[in-house]
Amino acid sequence: MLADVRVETNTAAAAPSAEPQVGPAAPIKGRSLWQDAGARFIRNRAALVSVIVLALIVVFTFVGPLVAAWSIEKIDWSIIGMVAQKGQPSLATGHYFGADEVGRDLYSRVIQGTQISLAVGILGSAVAVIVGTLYGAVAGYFGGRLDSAMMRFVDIIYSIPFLFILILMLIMFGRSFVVLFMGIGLISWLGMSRVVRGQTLTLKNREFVEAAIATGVKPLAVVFRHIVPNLLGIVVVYATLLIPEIILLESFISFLGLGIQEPNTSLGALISEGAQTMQYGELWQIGFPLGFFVVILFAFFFAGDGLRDALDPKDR
Amino acid sequence: MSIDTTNELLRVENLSKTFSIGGGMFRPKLKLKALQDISFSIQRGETLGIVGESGCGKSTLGRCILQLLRADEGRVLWLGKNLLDLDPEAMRRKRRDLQIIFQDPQASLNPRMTVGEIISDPLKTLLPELNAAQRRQRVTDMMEAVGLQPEMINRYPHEFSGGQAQRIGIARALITEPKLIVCDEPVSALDVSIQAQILNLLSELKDQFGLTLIFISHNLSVVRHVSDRILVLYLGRMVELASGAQLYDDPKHPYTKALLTAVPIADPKRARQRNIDALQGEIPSPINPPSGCAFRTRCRYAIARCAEIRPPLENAGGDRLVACIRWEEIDHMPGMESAQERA
Amino acid sequence: MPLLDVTDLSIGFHMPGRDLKVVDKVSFALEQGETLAIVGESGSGKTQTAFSLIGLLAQNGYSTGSVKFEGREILNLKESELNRVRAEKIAMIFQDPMTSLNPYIRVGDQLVEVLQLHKNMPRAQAQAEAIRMLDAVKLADARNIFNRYPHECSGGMRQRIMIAMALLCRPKLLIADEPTTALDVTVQAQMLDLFRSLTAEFGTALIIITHDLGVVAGLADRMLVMYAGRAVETGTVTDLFYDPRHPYTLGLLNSTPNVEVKTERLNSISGSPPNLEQLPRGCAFHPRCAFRFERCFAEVPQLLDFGAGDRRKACHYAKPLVAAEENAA
Repeated sequence: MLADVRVETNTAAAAPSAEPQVGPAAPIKGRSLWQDAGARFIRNRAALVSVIVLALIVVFTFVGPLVAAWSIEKIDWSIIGMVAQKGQPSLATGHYFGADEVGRDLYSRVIQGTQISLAVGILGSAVAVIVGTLYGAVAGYFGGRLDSAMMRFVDIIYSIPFLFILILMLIMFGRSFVVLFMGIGLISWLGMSRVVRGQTLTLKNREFVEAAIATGVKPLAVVFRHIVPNLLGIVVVYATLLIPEIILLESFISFLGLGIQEPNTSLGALISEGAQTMQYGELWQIGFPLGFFVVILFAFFFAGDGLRDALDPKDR
Repeated sequence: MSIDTTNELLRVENLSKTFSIGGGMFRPKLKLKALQDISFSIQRGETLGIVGESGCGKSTLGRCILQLLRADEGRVLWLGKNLLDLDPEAMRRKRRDLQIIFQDPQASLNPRMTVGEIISDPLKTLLPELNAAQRRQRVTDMMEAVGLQPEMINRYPHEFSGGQAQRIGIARALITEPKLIVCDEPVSALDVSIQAQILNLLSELKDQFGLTLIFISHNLSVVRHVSDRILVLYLGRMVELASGAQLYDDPKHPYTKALLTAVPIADPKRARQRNIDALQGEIPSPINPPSGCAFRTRCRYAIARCAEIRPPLENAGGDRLVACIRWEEIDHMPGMESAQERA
Repeated sequence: MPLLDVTDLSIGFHMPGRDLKVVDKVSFALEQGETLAIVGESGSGKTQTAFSLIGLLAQNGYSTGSVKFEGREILNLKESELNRVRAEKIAMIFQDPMTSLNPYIRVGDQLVEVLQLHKNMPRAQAQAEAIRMLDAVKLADARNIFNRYPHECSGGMRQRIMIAMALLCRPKLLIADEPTTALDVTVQAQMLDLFRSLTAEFGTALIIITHDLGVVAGLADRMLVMYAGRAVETGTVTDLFYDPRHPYTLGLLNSTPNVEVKTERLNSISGSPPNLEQLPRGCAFHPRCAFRFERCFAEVPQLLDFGAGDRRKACHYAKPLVAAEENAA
């Protein structure tokens, strides 16, 4: 009869990627799901290029000022009144991107605008992620009345006409970076909390969560050790797509003239100013900020899409 | 009936569990009686098999015992103490002795944790006095005991096959050296040849660690192989409780008989010879069970009285219990020889 | 001429950066009215084999070889031609009755649609035929079921509806992919009964894909055992159960617990099924085989005839595996 060999897992049969035995007891490094996703992400050309472009832009905002000839506020008196003729982009005058209507260097201002826009977007998104994830995970996991109460609160805030409030806040408390940031932050976490709550509801019925409970893990520990790590996929994707949304929002506010105060500027404000001088033929004033704006948005969208595809569990 | 309370590990008394489902603003919620009046006890070192088809409540029973679901009525006595009376903190401590192995090996393992982390997780919770090195030692020892190579400790669940993933689940259940393990369909999701490996493994580990098992399954052949005593459930009620040999060679309840004749036999000559009198009809909905005996709608021996009263559990010799008002009559009917007499 | 004649069927999938072969030169034949069981575990390629017969492979799948149905080549036919073959000549029922029926359309309408599409039947006639078929699959109150939605029916009922749908056009061949795996034991027994009576009544040939040897024993005339994408043994069910010639077949038989006899220890097969992307050299089964010798490590065994009757095995070991005395018992 068939010999009954003691339960052995052969290297050839057992290890899905049969690696040669490295010494008697050297632990083999595992291939986590993140690594798998990373490999898939890299294969996605559009996403990879987008990430590289974003990285280059960030580097540019740090390195760019080193070669700037003008600061963001210094006015070039020599071209005032004749910006259309003398304010064009040129290497000679030091106005690499040209000058704006008031004589300020556009190159430095675009750099600063990019920095501010990116900062608002990334920081805003970070706040939204942290607050939204914790809120949504707790609501979803504990369920019941706590969940109902927490989500009704979200619904109420959602129903308030946000832009209205934000503009009101900016007018009442002044147009500072802080007020703008708070206003945006107050809103952006809401969508994230809904998404996270939904995902938590799915996860909490999975058997490994039941297993954790069965081994006595306390509820909050279950949320942080088991649920949140499995949420990160969807959170990362949502966050990456939230950044351009926040940038758009901030730009809109600035376009309306209510955003960042002078002399600081953001891409939205620059676009606003540039739009007003288009009729004079000073197209560089809208061209450069708009160009950066569009490239940044597209890059985030492509990267976000790439992330979503890479993390799609269907591929497992 | 000899009650050996000194060796009794678990005693379930009159356990009932009802779920409220559906309903909305204008419709009342429906009551689903998942378990009704379940009572039995388990001795140290035995394996109790729980079998039944869909809707019988076997998984619910396993979870009610472990307090992963809270029963509505009845008591679950673990070494004499009712688990339902314990506060969450005290119950958490008891979990060291009461563990569970799940059906779907991949779903029961956290995909973001390594094997080592998964197996050591219960140690972190229930044996916090151990330091990292001690935990690691126990984890590698346990991995060897279940037939996994310790070098795989940093791998992730998706890198393992079904059978190996189930071994990880078993290792996790055993790491705190529990006294009782509920196995909820542990081999149903595995290939036949791997099933056999895992069943053999469970049997060895049971001897090695002195475990007591509750083995839940719908597969009668598997249950026969592992169990000492077997409890048959139908629509949340106890139908028959007997030792393995008694149940399979001489079933008393009509449902058990039907169940056994329905199991396909892997033997072509015997398979053709059998008088397959397939059970007609379907399992009724647990929301609206038949009155009286739940099985009467499909039972060939049903009489008017079966619809009127719920059959009590009667003693059928020794420790055997049967829930049928006609079991003795049926036993003496012509043509009802037991399997031994038939062979 | 056999009803179905499969020769050297190979199936693969185009994956990023590589090609994965899941079925390697499988050959078998099926006569009119016969029941063939294709047996194997996960990774054996049995489901893909069935899918390829009626062109249901995924987008990135490809198949080579020959599949002749009633003498006519049907492998890699174009969709329009294939649609004539499907349902009318070869029908398929799937494992999960929950997802195989459209939840938004009533049962009756789904059946009528098949008849209208394939037989151009007027609605009234199609309706009568559908109800007749629901009756034939032993569904009580066929008229009532006709008007129901799938979610209003139980798993067993849905499976019967699927069978009814498959038999509407009186196909010559029915392929059933694990049709009873998702069902309760008592419902499974009814289903097997139904298969037996229907194949007799309509003279349909049946290919049943399963890993449950009990189902095979009760239903099939012949069986084909697959391992790691290759056919390892074929023959009549009686031959393979009592005189298996491939160690894997023997291992499967030994691994199956018997409901009638309790054994101390199940004779399992050690190890796990191989990774199809990294098959061992020589025979794919040799790492788990107790009968292996040097030749098995180097040479892939071919599926060859041996003995009397239509028996084939892909194994270098020439002697019987089970002693003659045990046969007689």
